[in-house]
Amino acid sequence: MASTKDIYLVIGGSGFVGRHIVEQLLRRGDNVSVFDIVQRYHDVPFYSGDISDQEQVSTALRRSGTTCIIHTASPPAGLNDPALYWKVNVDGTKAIIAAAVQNKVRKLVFTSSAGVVFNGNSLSNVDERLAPPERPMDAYNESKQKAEEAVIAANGKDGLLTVALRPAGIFGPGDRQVMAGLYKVYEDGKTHFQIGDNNNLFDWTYVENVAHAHLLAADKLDTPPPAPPFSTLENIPLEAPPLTEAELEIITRPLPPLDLTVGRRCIPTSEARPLGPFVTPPPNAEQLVAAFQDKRTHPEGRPVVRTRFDPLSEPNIFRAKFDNPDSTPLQVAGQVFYITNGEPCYFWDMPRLVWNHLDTMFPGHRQKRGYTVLSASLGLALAFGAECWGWLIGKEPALTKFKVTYSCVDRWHNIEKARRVLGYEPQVSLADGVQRMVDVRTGHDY
Amino acid sequence: MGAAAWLTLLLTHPIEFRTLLQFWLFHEQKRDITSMKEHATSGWDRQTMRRCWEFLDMTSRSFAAVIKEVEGDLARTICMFYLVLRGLDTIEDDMTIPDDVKQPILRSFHKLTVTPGWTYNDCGPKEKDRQLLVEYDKVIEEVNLLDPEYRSIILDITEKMENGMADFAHRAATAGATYIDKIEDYDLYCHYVAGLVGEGLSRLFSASKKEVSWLGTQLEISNSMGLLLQKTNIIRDYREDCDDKRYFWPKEIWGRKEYGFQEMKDMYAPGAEQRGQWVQSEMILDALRHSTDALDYLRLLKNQSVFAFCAIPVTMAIATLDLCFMNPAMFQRNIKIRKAEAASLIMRSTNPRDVADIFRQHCRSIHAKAVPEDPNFLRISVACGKVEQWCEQNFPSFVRMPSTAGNPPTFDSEDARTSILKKSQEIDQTITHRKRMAQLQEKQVAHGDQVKPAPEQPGIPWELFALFGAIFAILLLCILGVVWIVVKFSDSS
Repeated sequence: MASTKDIYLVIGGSGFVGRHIVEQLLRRGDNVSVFDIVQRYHDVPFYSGDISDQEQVSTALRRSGTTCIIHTASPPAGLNDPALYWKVNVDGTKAIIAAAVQNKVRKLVFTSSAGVVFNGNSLSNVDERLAPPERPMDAYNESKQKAEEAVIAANGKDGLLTVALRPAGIFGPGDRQVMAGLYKVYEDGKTHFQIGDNNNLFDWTYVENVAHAHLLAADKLDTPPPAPPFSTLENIPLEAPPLTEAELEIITRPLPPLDLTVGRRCIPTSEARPLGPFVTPPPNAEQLVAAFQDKRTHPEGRPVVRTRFDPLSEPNIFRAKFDNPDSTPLQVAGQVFYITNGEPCYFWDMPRLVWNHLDTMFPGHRQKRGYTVLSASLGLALAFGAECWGWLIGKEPALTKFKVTYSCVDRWHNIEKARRVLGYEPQVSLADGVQRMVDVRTGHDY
Repeated sequence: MGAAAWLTLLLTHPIEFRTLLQFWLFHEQKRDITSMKEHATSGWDRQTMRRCWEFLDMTSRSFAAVIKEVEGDLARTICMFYLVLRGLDTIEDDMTIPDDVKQPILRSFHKLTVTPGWTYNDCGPKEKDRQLLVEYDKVIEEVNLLDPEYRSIILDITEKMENGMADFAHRAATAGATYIDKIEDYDLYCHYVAGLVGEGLSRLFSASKKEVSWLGTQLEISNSMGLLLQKTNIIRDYREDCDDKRYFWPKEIWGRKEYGFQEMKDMYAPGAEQRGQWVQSEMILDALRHSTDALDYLRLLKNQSVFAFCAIPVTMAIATLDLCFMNPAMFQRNIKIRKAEAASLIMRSTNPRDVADIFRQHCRSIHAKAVPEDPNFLRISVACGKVEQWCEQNFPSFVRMPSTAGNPPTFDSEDARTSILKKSQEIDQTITHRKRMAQLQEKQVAHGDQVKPAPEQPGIPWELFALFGAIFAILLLCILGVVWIVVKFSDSS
């Protein structure tokens, strides 16, 4: 940790992700203020204002003495209001950058979205090298993408360090999108429909894991790059320079297994194992047990074999440095990172688990019945019909082409870069996250 | 299979008939250990070794064929390793031997295995492999003929295994402990009886130089290979083991309050079907988590015969887990994958990509059978997702293997990752272009260095002009001179 602690301003700190960031900062005893349009909590200094007004942001920065901005503000996805998205996400973010530069703020962490690369087609194990699609999915994702671009472009401007995080499928207690949608389907008794073959994987991220990643990004934003960016060298190298010690450490460090949901178990070996029902202990009993205990905290990595498609293979690290000479892929500043739970599961499983939890709270609401499986193309045809009918009678259709597409494609990401560079490891499992979300939801009065 | 069986299969399962026929027609044996040219490594010319090969056929249902196909002296070494452990296992299993007799034999088995002439005749008549111990002197003779490096690995593993087995056997015999309590103990038991085999094999592979030298130090994934196979057998053999009063399932799993079982045999009682199913799915989930380790292990192998030897049992295991999952028949009788499926697995277990595909296919099938009421539902989904992740990370599906060998792979233009690849290629082109430019510049600079001492090259050849000019001037003067003389003299005349 740096000797001087940062002073944080969480923009959008009354929102879903923002609030969790504030709580985690408070928990570790940091100085944090909130900038938002509405005040929902009264435990931290609050600055009310409009982010698209540079002066208002600037005033808050000055008064709070902020050294690190965490910008999470955005209208929720799925609104039919492109102008609002543009104003808040693009103009707002640009105003924040300008205010940050004006006030010599050191750090800016931006909450982007994995949606910026989604255009309705499958994404399997995609990494940060994937460029945003030419035609964005919708106004929300387009505006988030433009904002992210501005944030990354501002890295290094008058000493400002920036980073953008792209969480995928955020859920958790207090969320207004995932749980509300699933609850509605449950209430309407439509849980037995399945569109697609359910072989498609989907990434979810528990909100506290997203918040955790923000804190890590803020902490590591000013870590010096493990190798000099090419733009700082006399000539831009045309042959891959050998990786530095620091770089090798980052890409070869053994990573623990992502086992929060399935549960951590150590595999006994002849060098590290419990003693079991022994009669006389083996001569090296102490070492065996100590080594086995040690594996719980420091799990053994697996041999890292990288294909030529792997973003962290040596040739690809060189390409990334060459393509963006101002930053290296193994540093935080000027980079984007996917953030997920690292445990993608089949699309329909998460909703079904939630509905199953709801069954235990509302016994008798659902009749046990088999699933009605519709193929993706039939789903699309039905959605087209529903949209036409909806247009005709002037009501929002229950089934839309977007929803059909959404439930039939693979959408999961490679988070190795975040794990290796940010040191990010999910803290709360998918299973626990769902339980907490449902508990809070049903604790409310419905 | 007799003609009638083939005919029945053709009529009832035509696709299986096709698979088996293809297997019978095209899957030739990779190696014939009896042939003259193999005698040096297979030892077939020795009476004792020939008997050992016979024992291998007698004692191992599934491993004999794959062991014999391994290259060089490794086949014989693995065969002996197998027979030694089979001998040890037979003594461990034999409930007619009292504990005080069994303990010293087990704990000294690694020494007995190299004591010439030692045999054991006191196994119960029901032990199916008792003949192996009756003629164990032949095994000993052959073990002593092994390469010393191989032999010391085999004996080291035997010593570790025998002590672990003896510990568990002693506890069962004296403490009246019918069940394995903790999952940790279940893992440890599987480590003793199967994980150690994995460790030993990895070390043998490394020692044979057929695989990388550090494979033998990869203890976790070697153990995972063994644990996956052992756990699969323990799950599948539930009923058989229960009937023999042998219980390997850990009480920490089946004894969970929400499942509501007091004894392991209660799971096959009528009325327990659904709760039994949840226990079964937790056991299968526990085995499934070794699958990515097994894939990691297989990916490291280089030798084709070693690969087949390791991969075939593993693909059989994942297919067996799929067969058992949500299958109530498993509690009633011994179930097995069908012959045709086994044949198809053997034919497809040739490279890590295809093996990963087999894993993915069975994981999807397992997942499709999972129901949300199952307390393990999400964990199964995530565990299957991990196999899918492994497949995409190591053998990304947007790379399409060419249908004919020798051609380069093609890339799925619909897949987002193809655009990443295209971008990489563009960067490479820029780099190549820059390199060429740099080379060109360098050449020019180098060329310039050579001509530097020479005077500056003029654009126009002035000397030549001067020469022509001079010649022209002289000619002009001559003509003028002639004209002047002619005029002068004509005037005067």
